[in-house]
Amino acid sequence: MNTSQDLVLSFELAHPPAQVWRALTEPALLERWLMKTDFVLETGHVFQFRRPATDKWDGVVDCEVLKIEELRFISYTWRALGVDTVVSFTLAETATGTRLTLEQRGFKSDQKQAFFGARGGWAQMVGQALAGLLNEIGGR
Amino acid sequence: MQAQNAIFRALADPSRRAIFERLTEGELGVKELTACFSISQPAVSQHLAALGEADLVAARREGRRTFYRAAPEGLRPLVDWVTQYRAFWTERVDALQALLEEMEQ
Repeated sequence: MNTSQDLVLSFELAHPPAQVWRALTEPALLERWLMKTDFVLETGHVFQFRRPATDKWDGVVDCEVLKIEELRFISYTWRALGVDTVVSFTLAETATGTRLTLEQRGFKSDQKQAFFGARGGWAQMVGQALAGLLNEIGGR
Repeated sequence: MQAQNAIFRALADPSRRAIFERLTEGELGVKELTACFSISQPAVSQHLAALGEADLVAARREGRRTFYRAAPEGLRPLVDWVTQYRAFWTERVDALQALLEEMEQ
């Protein structure tokens, strides 16, 4: 049942784990490939990723650091567009650099609540927010 | 993607969005809906047809009258966030790779 709710992607990067780790955990570097953020490498730290707001999406992702294994693993909650998920990055050293495994898993029960709990506003929110995200993905 | 496009098209119009949201609160006929909004009855019918095509509204006949209700399960294709995020992360990791190259220099 859960498989359709989970996303698992694997990438071979031609750079050592230490360098990839920096790009994943230093706010100045995160901003350059992902989004502007007040991330701090500290379990329990609450932070946001931000993109410029559009009329369809406020551009905010709410996060909390869940687990850190230095140079090897980091996970945080990722709440955007009314969907609660957890994003994790796993780094493994390879002969040519780093295998980066990215997973994003949904919170099924919370998600249901987010979609069907708030009467009236949810349809507009979900429709517009995802349309906004689609546009931004398409626009890059 | 087809289903999503139909949904986006249907919900892109503010009047249709308002009708859809009104119908999430309960079943209504065309007459009652027309009374809720400052648009003509044919316009309401047209909006209902567009929402129906996107599977966002379901109709129920009772005698000569038809009642409409919102079908939130029609939003299901939008809820398929996995598809959206697959594209998102693939692009972001491309940017990450470019950044890693720059860091080398």
